[in-house]
Amino acid sequence: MRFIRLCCYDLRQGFYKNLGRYLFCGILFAAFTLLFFREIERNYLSGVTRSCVDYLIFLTRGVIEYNPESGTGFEIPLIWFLQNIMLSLLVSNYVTEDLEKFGIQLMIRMRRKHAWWFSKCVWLFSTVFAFHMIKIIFALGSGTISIQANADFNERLYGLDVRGMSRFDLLLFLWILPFLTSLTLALFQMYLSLVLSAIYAFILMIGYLVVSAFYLHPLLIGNNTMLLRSAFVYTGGIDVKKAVVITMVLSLLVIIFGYIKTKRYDILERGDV
Amino acid sequence: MLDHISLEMEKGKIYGLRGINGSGKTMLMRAIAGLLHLTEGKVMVAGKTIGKEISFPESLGLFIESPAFISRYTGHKNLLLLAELKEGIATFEVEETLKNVGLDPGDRRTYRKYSLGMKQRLGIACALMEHPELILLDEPFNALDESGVAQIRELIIKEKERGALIILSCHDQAELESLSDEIFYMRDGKILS
Repeated sequence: MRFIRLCCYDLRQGFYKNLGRYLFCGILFAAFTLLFFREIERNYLSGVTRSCVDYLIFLTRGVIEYNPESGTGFEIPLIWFLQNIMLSLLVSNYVTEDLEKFGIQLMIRMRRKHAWWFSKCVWLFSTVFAFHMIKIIFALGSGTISIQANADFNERLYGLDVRGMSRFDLLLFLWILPFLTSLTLALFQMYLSLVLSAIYAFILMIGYLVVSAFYLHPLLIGNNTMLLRSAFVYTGGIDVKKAVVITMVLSLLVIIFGYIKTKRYDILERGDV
Repeated sequence: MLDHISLEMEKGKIYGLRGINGSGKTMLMRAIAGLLHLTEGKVMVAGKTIGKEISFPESLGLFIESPAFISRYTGHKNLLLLAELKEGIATFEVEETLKNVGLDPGDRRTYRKYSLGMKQRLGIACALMEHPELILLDEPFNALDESGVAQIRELIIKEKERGALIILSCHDQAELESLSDEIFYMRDGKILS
């Protein structure tokens, strides 16, 4: 019961603290929606029926694997990058701020340090969920409600052949894997913010995302949310089922490491700086 | 860093910590409160080792370095929120503690509008409201006016009489001497006497 109360506290405080950032998320996805419509118009596809899945493909398209020998410059897919940065901002400093302030009083009343960490994990889960809900709201407003992509539409718009993707593949790639990937990245950032500081964790996450855009590797999980780098459309690309397992294992590991870290954490240390 | 500190303290007494800034007073309090992970040695409270058997002392009131509260809540709401987590403490007890430290439970002002002295009083109320067995007070008289100091002094004595073990650090030597049953002088993380 007390743990549920602690979770309720975190959900309430975390949501309040991030209110402005959620608003910014909405603005960001609104801007992406405008870009999506502009691309549709530019390709004379206004009359073609499209579904919310097509919008999600637009958001998770990414770029093909970078080849330094190709002679083309390295390009970070902006839409993919901004989404991840936005999530990073949502995570950023809530946990460290709480620990330096009110969290100490909460902890001593809970009498268990790890209860505080697990409560923060629940908050993080809700934050990632809310972020993806905002995305889904915009997706639902951008096309018909369907779980299938319009293959012709995607082929004409991006030259992407999604005919080989079953409904299950689409569900896994567009709905489940992005959520799991975001959750893993967010957990990792939250853990780093405890080990280092919120600002260093944020900078490191930016670095990790840039490296993810540069190299294609299953452990650079930023690649998970780029359709152009998935095994569906690219030989040697990310296998979605493996990616789901990797993200779940990584999430679990970070939760365990966080639990250990919190138990041995010197509270108030940072408050002295 | 704390260096070879060996202390035994009894319930119903006030122990004073004295020393210059950086002598280790706050660090010692943190260690007793379970906020630090000790690399060597152990802290035992009521027969249980902190950090091993329990994370924090089971009945602890803590006031270290002016605690922060939720700025958009009133002092009353902040304390109620904490009281809910602890359970076993009624709303009227929270209100009584607020009155005892000189704050009005019906005050609609949010924490961000509190003066420094009011913030200090709220922090002390937070440490005392559950009538804990172990109370750690680091510079509780800072930013308080004369009447505030008298009120808090009276509260500390009441808690001692109730049977609480109180560890107090204070730069005002006269105040510390008048309240403490025993005073420990600290320097460079060591107890001198």
